[in-house]
Amino acid sequence: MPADLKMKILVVDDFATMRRIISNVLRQLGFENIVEAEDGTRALAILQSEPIDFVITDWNMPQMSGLDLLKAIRSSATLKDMPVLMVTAEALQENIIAAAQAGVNNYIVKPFDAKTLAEKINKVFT
Amino acid sequence: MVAHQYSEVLETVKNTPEWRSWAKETLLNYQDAIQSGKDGMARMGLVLGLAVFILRRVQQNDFTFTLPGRMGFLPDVENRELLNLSGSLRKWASPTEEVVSRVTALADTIGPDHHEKVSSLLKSIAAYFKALLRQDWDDLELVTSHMNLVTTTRESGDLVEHIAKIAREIYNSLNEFSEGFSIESLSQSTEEIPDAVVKLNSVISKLEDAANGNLDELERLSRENGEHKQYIDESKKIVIECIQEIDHLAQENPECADTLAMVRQTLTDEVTANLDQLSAQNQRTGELAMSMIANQGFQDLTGQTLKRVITFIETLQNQLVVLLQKYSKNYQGRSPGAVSINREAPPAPTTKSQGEVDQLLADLGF
Repeated sequence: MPADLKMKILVVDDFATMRRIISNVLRQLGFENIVEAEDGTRALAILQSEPIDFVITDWNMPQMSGLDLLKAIRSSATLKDMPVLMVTAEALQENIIAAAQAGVNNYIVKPFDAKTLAEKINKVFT
Repeated sequence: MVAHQYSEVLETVKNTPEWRSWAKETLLNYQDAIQSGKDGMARMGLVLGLAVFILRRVQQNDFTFTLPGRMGFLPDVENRELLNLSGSLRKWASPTEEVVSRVTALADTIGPDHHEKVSSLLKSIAAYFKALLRQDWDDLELVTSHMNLVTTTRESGDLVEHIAKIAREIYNSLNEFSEGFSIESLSQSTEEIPDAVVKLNSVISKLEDAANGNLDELERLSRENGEHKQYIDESKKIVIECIQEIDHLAQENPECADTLAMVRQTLTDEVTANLDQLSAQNQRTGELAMSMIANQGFQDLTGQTLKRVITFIETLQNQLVVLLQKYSKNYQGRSPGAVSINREAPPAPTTKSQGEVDQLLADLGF
């Protein structure tokens, strides 16, 4: 089943430029319902206050890292089934394994292109 | 007196579980005794302790120590025994100190074993001193030769030589470091670090500004490209409507059919073809703009790297300030402040490509 273009996507990254880029690429792919957060703590607050269908998060962030956000999501009774895509420059094997063990749905390495992001999103929702 | 002393020392060596520290202490006492020229009797016990210690170490660990081969250090004048012996022992102080330093350095790293061999050597040492007291030089030489034989191996000699070489290299390196170490230049470098950090932060800021400027333009380009697409699509619709209208006119006005057919042909062959080409161009422009938008991610990647460098530099600066405060009385540098260190993000020596990540994810069941 392809990803629903109407779903609400939360983009989490401490770099405003990167949030803007991901949002742009998502819009190009047809997703219009996008919200942004600058770190894991803010993302968690948004997740607990409004309905989100999909999270795309960076790894390295102040306050709460992407991995900690992922763990918080998986340990939450209401959020545990949330699809999460990690978009990060942390392409170390131990990080990928750590993310996989924490329950990430897929992992994409920066820099990336629209095609790769589209493929990964489709994999998450297939 | 002497017999009593060395027996006492022997028993001490045999019975004390803390023989290592005792042996170290003995070595130091021995050095003191040699240098201060204290009473020879007391020194005899200490020499015995030293010999016991060294031989135990040697036998347990294959560590080479060669006792003086001949009796050259012993007194030539008969029975001025201990006084002359003391003088001879002073001459022996230098090589002994060398051995003491080597043995002391090794004492903490080598464990005690081989008690039977040690016991045998202790008997040899006892025989050595008995011969010494009797001034039986032949016997003394015999015992010494025996001890030399059983305590010396080629391998252990190589080991000692190797350790000495390493120690010398370390010593030389430390000396070279000290010679090249300049408090002034270090102080100057430390003062310049904040400026370097400001400049790096400025680079981050300028990169961000540039990336956002590019994104502004690229978003505008994408918007306009989207509008162009609408124009092209609308133009295509109009052309189709025109063709339909021409067909309708041709049916109603058969006398104009040939002319209308030419107009229709022009519309389908040229206008539609041009619109299709524009449409393809428009799509390529959109893809290019999106690719350039994604490429602005360089700001994120370079920014993260620069932030790590800044953290490293600030940490280094604080350590240098501590170093300066410790070693330079004249340094009036600022106190090292708390620096946040991004421990989550160590340098990544073996980062993976997306392809390798995909392979790893596949291996993990994704």
